[in-house]
Amino acid sequence: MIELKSVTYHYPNQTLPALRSASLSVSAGEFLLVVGPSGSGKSTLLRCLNGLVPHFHGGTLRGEVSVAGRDPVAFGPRGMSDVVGFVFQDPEAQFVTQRVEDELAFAMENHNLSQITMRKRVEEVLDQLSIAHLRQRRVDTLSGGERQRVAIGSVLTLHPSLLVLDEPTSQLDPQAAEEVLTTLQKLNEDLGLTIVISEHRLERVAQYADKVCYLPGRGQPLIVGDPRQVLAEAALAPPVVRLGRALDWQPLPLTIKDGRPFATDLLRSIDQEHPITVKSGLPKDRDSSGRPEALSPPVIIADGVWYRYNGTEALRGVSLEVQRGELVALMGRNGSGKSTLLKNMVGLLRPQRGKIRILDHDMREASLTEVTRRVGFVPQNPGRLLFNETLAEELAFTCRAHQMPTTDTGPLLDRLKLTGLARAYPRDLSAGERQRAALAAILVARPELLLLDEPTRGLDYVNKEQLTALLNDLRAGGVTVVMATHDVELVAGCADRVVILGEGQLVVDGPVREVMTESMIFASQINKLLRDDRFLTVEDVLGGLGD
Amino acid sequence: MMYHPITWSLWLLAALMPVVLTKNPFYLLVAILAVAVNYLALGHSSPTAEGWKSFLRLGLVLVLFSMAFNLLFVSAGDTLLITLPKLHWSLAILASQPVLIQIGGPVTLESVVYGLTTGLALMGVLITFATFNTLVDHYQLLRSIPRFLYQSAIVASIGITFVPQMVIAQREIREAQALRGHRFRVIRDLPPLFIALLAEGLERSITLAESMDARGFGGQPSPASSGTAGAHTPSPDLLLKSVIALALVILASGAFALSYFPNRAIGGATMLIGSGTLVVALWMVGQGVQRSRYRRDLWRRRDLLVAGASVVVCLLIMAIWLTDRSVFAFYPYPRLNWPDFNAWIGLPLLLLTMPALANRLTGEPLGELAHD
Repeated sequence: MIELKSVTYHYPNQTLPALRSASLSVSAGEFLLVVGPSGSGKSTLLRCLNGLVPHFHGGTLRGEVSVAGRDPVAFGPRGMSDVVGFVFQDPEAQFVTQRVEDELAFAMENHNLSQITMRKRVEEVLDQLSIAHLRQRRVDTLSGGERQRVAIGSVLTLHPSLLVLDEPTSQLDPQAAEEVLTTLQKLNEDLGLTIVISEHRLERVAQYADKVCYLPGRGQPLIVGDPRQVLAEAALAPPVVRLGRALDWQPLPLTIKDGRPFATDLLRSIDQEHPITVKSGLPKDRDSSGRPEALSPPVIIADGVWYRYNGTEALRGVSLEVQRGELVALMGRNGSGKSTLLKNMVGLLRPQRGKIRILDHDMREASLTEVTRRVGFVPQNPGRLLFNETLAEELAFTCRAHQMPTTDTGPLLDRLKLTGLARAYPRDLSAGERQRAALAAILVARPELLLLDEPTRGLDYVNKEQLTALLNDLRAGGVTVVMATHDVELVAGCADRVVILGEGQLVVDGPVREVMTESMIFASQINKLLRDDRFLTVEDVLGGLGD
Repeated sequence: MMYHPITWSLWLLAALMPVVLTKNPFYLLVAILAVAVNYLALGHSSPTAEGWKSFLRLGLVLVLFSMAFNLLFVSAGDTLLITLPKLHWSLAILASQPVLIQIGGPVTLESVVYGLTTGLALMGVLITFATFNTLVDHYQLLRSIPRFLYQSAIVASIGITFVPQMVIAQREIREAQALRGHRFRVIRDLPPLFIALLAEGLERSITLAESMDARGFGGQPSPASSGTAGAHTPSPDLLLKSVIALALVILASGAFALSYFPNRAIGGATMLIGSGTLVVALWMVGQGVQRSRYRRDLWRRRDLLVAGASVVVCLLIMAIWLTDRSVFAFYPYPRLNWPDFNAWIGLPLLLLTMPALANRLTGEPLGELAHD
């Protein structure tokens, strides 16, 4: 189906190639997972498959590409459109029409198919993707997961033999991502459709993949092979795989199910050989120590907060206290009120009933200027915080806006692993770097309280780990952090407390180990595997064994 | 879309006629309210409702601006309200005819009222387009456009949907920047907002363009679905591009001739030839692109009601315009008169509310819109 022979590609005016002699072969009906750190050329590789590279982006491509018997370089994306369906990352930006049904028909209209064929295929695709109930909806009223399924449908109507998806779930929450990935698995199994997907959530797709293609980046050659083989070497790996690699489990488990037999043995051996070391060997036990217990007044006091957006009650009487130096994770379904609560804490929204005190500001009347001097907020799309020419100017800007002296920003940039990027244009940075740049622009003002909205959206494992380390670091420095997130691994790695919201009400509030071990959904992979409140992360297990 | 594209087009025409042709504030007000009723009844739950509200705000600003402008610059009229301090310059652009610019001086009731009616007329046009934009499915409208205009029309349609998206993005960016201590006090504070918005707009456009390209938009000359290698074609050929370029050159020189030569006929004829060439070129493009249409729009009884009402309004206004234009005229100078109001003209304008009523009158289910 796909045959790439030593393909080298340069974007226009770039001296370094985005792809260097990449070779790849995929047969019909295979499910290929493309992984690699951000900026390693995943998107470029995928765009070679339908001619968007080099036709749309320019530049020079050498080597041979053949997809479904055609040469995408000669045919161009339009000529390839009936054999390659392409789905993009941003579920909002890829629609042409306003109704779901029209969107499904758009590609067929371009291909001049008869009305009878179009009607038949639209019906088929609606059923195949279980989106028949959405057919008359406006696309802008759909949820992220629904949008991505419609986007998949809009290319399936041409009956392509290959479906290519460029990080289709990176902008989605876990439930929506699950919807999309399950749909893909079904298409692959029921129809034998060849699927090529780039994806960060390996723990979700690794088990469906027949083959994994790993792009290490920096011009190093691709590694293609069986998922177990490739993940055993790749720098990016989900927690279960990392644990399996560290403990040399064979065959390497990709899922919790695969890991279960090893888990039972592991728990037994820990309890027999190091029973005491493990119990006492939890210096990082964040629940009991590490925070000065109520020495100073709480940083956040929310008391019966209500908030209503045109007709829907986003918050219904939320009461919450956060102590200085605590790291609290707000979790819960989309629309459960997490973001609304955060916005109420910084003053972008004002509580309509009840009150919030942040530090010593009464948030019903405090001015945004005063609050933002002491409270940092990083929104879901961190790029929106950035608007200066260089990163250094971003930092200087924050200092100026808060009337602070400009300090030496070198140590901060070092800490955020942004050394050497001070002169870079912030919007050119990769997803992970952009996130850290936004954090730098906020942290330079030394906020006492940091609020984060979905900080790991679109980040790969390496970037997530760096963020986890940074948050631990900040907490050690006495900064209070509240983050709204769906990312259980991040929560397992650094949170003290988990607060779960449901329909605008506080449902659960407790120490992270307790909440995770009692929950089916809000638990980290390692916790799901071992079902033991001593172990949330790979480090917990290895630390326990090490002593 | 609740109504057939032709119905909506007729309604748009009918709604634009009074706001464009009349200066009478009463008729203007009736027309604006009648148009707004449709938005209130059908559109306020639509996701683009925010866009409608910003158009309304823009309209109000225009009314105020127009009043302020007249108040400051026009001193004609008999009813003196107050006298402001007067400033004036004489600008000698042409030595023979110095231009006198004057600010302030006597403020008359007439100038304020004149400003108000001018502002209302502008607001009427804005509100009509905003309502149309909120209630109409652009894509469905697009399908009923002749094939050779399709390519240019889809660009326009995307532009229309792009604006409300950008309004939302703009608000979020402003919020995000306020969090970094960025304040909007003077014009100088605007570039950061603008840059972030532009960057985001560009990123979106690139994805959209890629997505359209990857779905075969813009030309599949042979039956491509057969899957043969012959499906591939080069982009519109050189001849066509030259014809379009030529047409544009002719058009431009026509416009030039029109403004600089005393004989209007030459310029007019040149422009006519230019437009003709352009239409032919676009038609040629259309011939190269084989497209099919997914569905025919249904013509329902409620369409008949709305279309009928719109035609009645159009005919009435046209008839008055052709027989006695003074009915629509309103000129407050030199002394303000109470504008006329004839119920036989005012009441039929209420027919413009028909889109909000028709489905209730016919009892046909709303269908699609119920999901919004």
